Amino acid sequence: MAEPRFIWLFAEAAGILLVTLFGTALAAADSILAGTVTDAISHQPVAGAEVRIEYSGQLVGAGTTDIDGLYRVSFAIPPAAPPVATMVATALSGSHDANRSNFQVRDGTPVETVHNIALFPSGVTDCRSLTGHSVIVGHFLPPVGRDFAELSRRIAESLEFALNTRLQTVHLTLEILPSFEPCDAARPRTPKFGASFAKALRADAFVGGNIAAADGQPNFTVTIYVSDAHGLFRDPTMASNKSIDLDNPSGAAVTGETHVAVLGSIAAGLAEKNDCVTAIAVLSVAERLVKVIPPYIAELRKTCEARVPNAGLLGRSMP
Amino acid sequence: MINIGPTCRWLILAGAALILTTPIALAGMAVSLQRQFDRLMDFQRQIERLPIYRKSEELKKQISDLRRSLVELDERQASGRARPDIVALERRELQAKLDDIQRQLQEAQKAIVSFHEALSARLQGRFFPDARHRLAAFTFDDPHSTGLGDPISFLLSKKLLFSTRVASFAIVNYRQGTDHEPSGNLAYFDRVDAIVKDQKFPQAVWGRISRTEHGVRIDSFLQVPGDANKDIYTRSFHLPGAMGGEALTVRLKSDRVLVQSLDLDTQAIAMLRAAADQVAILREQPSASARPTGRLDGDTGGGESQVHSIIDSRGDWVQLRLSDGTVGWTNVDQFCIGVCRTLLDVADFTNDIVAIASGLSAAPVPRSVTREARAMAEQLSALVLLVDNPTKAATIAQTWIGDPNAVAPGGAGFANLLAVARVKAELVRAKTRERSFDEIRISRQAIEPIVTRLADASVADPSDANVVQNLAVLFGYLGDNRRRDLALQIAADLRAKVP
Repeated sequence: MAEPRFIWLFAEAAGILLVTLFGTALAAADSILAGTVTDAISHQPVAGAEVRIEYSGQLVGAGTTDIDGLYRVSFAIPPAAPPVATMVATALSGSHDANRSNFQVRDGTPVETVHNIALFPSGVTDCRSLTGHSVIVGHFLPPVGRDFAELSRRIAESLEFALNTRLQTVHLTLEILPSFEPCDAARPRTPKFGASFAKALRADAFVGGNIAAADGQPNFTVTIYVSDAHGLFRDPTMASNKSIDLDNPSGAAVTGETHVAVLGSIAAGLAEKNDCVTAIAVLSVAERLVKVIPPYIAELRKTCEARVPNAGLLGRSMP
Repeated sequence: MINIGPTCRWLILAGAALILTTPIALAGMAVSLQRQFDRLMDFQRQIERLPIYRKSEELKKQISDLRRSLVELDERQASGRARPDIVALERRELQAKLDDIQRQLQEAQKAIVSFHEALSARLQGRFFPDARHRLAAFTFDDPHSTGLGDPISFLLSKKLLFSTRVASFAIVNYRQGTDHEPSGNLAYFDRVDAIVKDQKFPQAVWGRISRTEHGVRIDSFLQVPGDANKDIYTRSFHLPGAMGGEALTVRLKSDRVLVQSLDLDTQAIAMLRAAADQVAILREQPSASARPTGRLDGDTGGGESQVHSIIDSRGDWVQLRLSDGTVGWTNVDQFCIGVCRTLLDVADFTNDIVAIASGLSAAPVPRSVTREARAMAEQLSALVLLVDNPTKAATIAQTWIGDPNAVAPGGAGFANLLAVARVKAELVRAKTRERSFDEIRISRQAIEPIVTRLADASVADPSDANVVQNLAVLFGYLGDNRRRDLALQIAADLRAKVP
């Protein structure tokens, strides 16, 4: 807890500074906004991030996070502001996308004194899903000395190509049909972070992987891992997809295991939204793609079957 | 009161005139005219179902002219002015004209139209509205630009037409051409779906091509739209009055089925392209070495549709007449061999589905088709058998529900079929004992296991409204009102969700 005297001195100094800088008459009473800036994926603190506070486009306070991601910014509210005013806090960091968020002040004091801010790694913010169900296809780690531009986009297209046709066979409506979003900027340090990416980007699944070149072969082996946002599988499911032509990756070349894992994640997302009827329809598509049904699919089916209204039709009829 | 139409009145008058004039010749002449009139009436009926509007108008005019000639001949005979040898000659001419109309009708009944622009969703009037069987064959989606989308669709549509087992079969071949350019915001499937719905096709063949490490994979689908003619894919019967009198219904469940997934290497791709090119050549004689007379896939200019009809066949060779009058022979089976022939299994399978739905017996399912497709064919066969041979229908369904832990292809479709077939079989057995059908009551002991199993299937495939509706009927019979009401509620909710 900071000393009140220190706060008062700091606020006064900031007020003077702002008046000097912008020539604007400020209110005598200063306020403080504090909180933590973290990485939206890893939830680790972001040190050295700048936090700026604005009112009506005018800067009224600024500060920087410490090594623990903590910030504490004193700001002055212009006298013309109404008793209840909406302020804007912007967090900036070299390694992350900027984040702008609103907070309210009432009678010169923030309604919520703690204002935590999550920052997405650079380039990832725009990958946030805007549709009901989505799969994010992140970066694929290339072999040393090689670069495969736009590979995540092409893998996303091939997954969409392979899976949406099959999902059409069970009459998924356009609102439910998943979108497959490429996001090359999404580069988890390890596959374990894939689930965090999926959750943070509001997707059902995150797909990533790495590429290995086979000696003397024109094609590559691509290891694809699928992580889900709903806790369907504890660890990412991995599948090795051999002999993929990276100039033209195709859904036909991706293994059934990968497809099933993606479909399972989408079904889990539907189940989480209490739509077990559609989740079972998606599971039935997954079940047709492989000879041996993975335990997580069987488990999810069992859970969903217990939750559909049709479960009330089971049992013996009494005369 | 009997309403006598103009044609019928004409027949009676002609008959009366003959009786008055030449009693001896009467029998032969009357029979002869009667037969000719019957043929005219039959042609008239066939024209109503003709796939090609323009052709049907032309034939109607020919029939009208022929009828006028008949009346004139009849009047001259009645007045005694006609010489017998002239009458005989005119009768022969008349017979020849009737034969010609019959030939034209036969060739018009099997027609195909290629329509380049249709995938851009610039939909026009409905194609072949009166054809008894209608099918759409779409260009295959080709996002990797293999250039195979049109050749595959072309080969399949030709094989479909040349090998069909039914009469009055119209195929619309929607092709996109080589200038593959997505139009509007509609994805391939959405465009296919929009056209199928708009044109009310009872069947559609479409697919997708994707690159693999060694070549391409061709996924071919058969679609039976949910709102397609329900009579073809649905069977329903009422329970006896003593059992509530409500209807049990079975509908073909699998409606978008992956028929075949075929991998082609580079050599096979080249063969397939060459085959499509050869099939497109029309020849003077049914021989690969005969002189070409035209091309099947030629654009008629301005993106207009090209209609062609089968006018003759010799073995695997068929003679076609194009809308511009070009006539020539072609053959799919001779040029499409090896892997290309395997691709044609999709057309054979589809033709079999059309035939089964028309009441014809099922042909052996090609080995290259998927388990789902096999299930679809067997489900349809069992559906057709349901009313007349429920025991056989139940046997077919049972073979697909062997594993109680696995969902059979087509979801709860087979379970529904099995349940309804067993009820029907029980009714057939009871009918021999009861005096009247409406007095039959099947025992609780017989119905309960059927209901229990159907309820299990409903949980495994909760989106099947037919299953739940049947359960409501059977729960009602068992006096289980709580579950009947729940089933009715679920069925209503599911139907409300259907767009």
